Amino acid sequence: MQELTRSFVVVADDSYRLETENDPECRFFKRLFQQSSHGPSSQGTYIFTPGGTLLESNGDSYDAQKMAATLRRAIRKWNALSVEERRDIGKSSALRRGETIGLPGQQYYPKDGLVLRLSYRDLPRGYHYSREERWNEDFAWFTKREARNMLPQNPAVGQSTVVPGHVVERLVRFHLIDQVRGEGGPFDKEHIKSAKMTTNVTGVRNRVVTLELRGETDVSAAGHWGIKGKRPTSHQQRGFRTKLLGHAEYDLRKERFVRFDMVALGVRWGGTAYNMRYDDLAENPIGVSFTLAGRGRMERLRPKLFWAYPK
Amino acid sequence: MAAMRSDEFDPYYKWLGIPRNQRPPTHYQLLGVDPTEAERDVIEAAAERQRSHVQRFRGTEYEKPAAKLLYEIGEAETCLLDPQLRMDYDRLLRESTRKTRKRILSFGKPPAIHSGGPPELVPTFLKIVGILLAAMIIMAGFSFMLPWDEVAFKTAGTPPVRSDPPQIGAPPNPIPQERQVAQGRAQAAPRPGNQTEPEPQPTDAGDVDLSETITAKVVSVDAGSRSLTVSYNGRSTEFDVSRAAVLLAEDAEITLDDLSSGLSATITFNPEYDVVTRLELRAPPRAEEVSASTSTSDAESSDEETAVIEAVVSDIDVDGRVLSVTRKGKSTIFDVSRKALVTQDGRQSSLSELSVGQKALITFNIEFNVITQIEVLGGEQETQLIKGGPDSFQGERESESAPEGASSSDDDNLATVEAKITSFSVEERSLTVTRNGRETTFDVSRRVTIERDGKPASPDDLAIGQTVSITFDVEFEVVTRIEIVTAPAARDSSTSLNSRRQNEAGGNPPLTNSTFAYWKEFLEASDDELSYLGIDWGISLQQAVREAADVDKPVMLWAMNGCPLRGCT
Repeated sequence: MQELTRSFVVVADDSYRLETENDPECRFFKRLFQQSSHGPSSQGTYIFTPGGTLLESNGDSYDAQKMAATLRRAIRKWNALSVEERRDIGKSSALRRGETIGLPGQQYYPKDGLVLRLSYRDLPRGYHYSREERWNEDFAWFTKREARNMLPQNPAVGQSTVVPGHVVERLVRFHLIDQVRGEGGPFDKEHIKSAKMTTNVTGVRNRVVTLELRGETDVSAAGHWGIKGKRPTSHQQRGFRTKLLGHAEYDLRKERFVRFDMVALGVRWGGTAYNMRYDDLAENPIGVSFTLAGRGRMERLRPKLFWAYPK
Repeated sequence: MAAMRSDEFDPYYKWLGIPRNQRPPTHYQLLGVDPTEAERDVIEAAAERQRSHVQRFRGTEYEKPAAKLLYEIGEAETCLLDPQLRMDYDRLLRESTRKTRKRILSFGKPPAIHSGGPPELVPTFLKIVGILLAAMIIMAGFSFMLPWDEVAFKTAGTPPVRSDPPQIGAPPNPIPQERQVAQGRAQAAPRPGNQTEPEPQPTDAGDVDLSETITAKVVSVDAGSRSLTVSYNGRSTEFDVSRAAVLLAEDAEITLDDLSSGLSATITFNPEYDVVTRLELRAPPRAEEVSASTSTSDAESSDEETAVIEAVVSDIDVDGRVLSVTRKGKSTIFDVSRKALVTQDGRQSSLSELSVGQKALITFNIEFNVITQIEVLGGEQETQLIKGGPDSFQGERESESAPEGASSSDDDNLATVEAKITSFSVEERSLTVTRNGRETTFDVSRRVTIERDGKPASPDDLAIGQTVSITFDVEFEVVTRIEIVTAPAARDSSTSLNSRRQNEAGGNPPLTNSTFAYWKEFLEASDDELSYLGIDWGISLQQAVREAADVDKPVMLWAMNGCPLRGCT
């Protein structure tokens, strides 16, 4: 599959934004979607000329064989095009010649701050089990100042720091959510029952501060909402309760974390419209791991719920 | 740097026979002489021989590489024939050898992130840079007419890269001189822990493998700044990548642009400067291979977490990944890790190939009672505990008062300790206790005896925080008897075992420092799961359309709600 993709310029993007907004990029995408035969969701894979002529599309991203066949067909179609057809600007003029459209929120990427990669997974529910195949990931952003404030100004072994409330709140509302199977919604501030996170200095050596992180979070909501797409709402409740444990290292010279490994272990219950829990609403175990993200472009993507981060 | 792919012409290899993975070559390799060679006429003859050979390619399609190589041969000859230049060049090699060797002697932890080099290198480097610049100027005098438009090769005097096993005169020092100088300034203090080590005897050239090699997962790569961040032993470490580094994938040379997050690679680096000199992408490993290295190293490094026993296979549930073994007439059931390594007759095997009655060495995680390695044995062997068992739970052995139900032959395998209950699951028959600040989880025998004040008690009488005296089988970590020593200070619904279990992630091992690594690994995505990152996805549709028009390719757009690159739904 990776070999096949070398025949293309590959890109991944948020179909929801492309479908619902109206800049040249979104209009270009909508025309692609109109040419496709899959639906009703616009989610999927589209192969097209730079001018916007759809060659192939596939609404099923999970079937590797089907995807490979789609790509091969697209390559054949592309190779059959004349030079003029390949270079035809088509409807892409505004997109190709217009101003560069930045990804919303991407300009806030905290390059000097703390960027974490999160991995979500259900935990075993029985004695004999295998790891659930469904998992998900996300990123969490913290500014340089927020990261620095997770440890004492003059760190010494034994010192303890309560992580500032707004930092913990961000974790709880936008990241300690259930998105193992799909998109989990954020919690409101008033849904937080309790949330606390502390760091303890366990070592300082060569200006690198070693920290142990501990915390507990408890958030729950009740109200009327749907748990299966756009289907009718009903009274629902959902929640997420975890214990946090982590180990981190902060380099005082580099003024950034050089290690950040944390695990949140606990339970979740309930569902949201798109997190695909409609058949799994009971309280069940879940875990989230946090680790430093790299700096590649694919790891600079804004968090899923960045739009909901308090401004 | 334009990377040299396997299908690209490599004059060092083709014309001089210098292995592809040794770039840049040393002066000695360029001339084909031993680093100890002192005879001037031998060096001159060697240089002439190499020159004559390469000269044949002038005026052909290989004009440019031939010209460059002739220049380098000239540089090498000049350096090696000039006593002062050569002395400084050799000293630089030795210096690098000594520093790196010291690091290797203290190796035993993941590479730390550091940015400096020892300060004493600064004057050396500055001096060498000066001398070599002078040499280059001289060389330019007879080579200025060469028709190349760029000099991508390493120039003479640049310390050579060595990523392979020891080669005379080739310590791993791939850092450009200017960076070495900068790093030399940056590092202020000598490395702790090395102060009392005996100084290695200086040699004319390196005689040990000076580089370190790790297997790590690519976290990110910045081709522009040639920085590479990898995840290793649960840590994220940032390296510079030498411009001369050899980057390979299935024996084909690749570039930094070919790397992406999630790929697994074997990385050789200069530990003094954290500079990668060689990187070889690993094919997606079989799960068994991954665990093999992990579990083996765990067993070797920590008897407290892993035990190895010899036992006879009595039942196998391949689908459920459950293995029953018999030892001294006792049967014990283990889970088998999906990553467990199974070997028979020295070859890799699988659970489904095991047979009842076979003897095997079983390596298992004591805390979770999960097998990580099975090595099938041939012939009859005496059953014995080879190693393992948590030290802190090696309590007083019972030789005369075996619990009811245990056969007399098992007596010497039982131990009794007093500890505090951390968690307990009736359904899963697991008991986690804390003793001397350490947590250990046991299986609980179906025939466990629970007593309080000399009277029978039930699991409902147990509570978190209680101090209990537990008797367990040392080898299998199965509790056979629990005696409640003290009642908990307060017992209410919030601390009852059942409610506690519900609140503690469904009865799974609790999140503690001792289980942290387990949970971290459990939750994080595997290499397979991250394989989609092996594709160099763009993140802007507009940019992709523009690029496609430039490179005459179609666009492939993967569109998902929320963007698939930060989570597949």
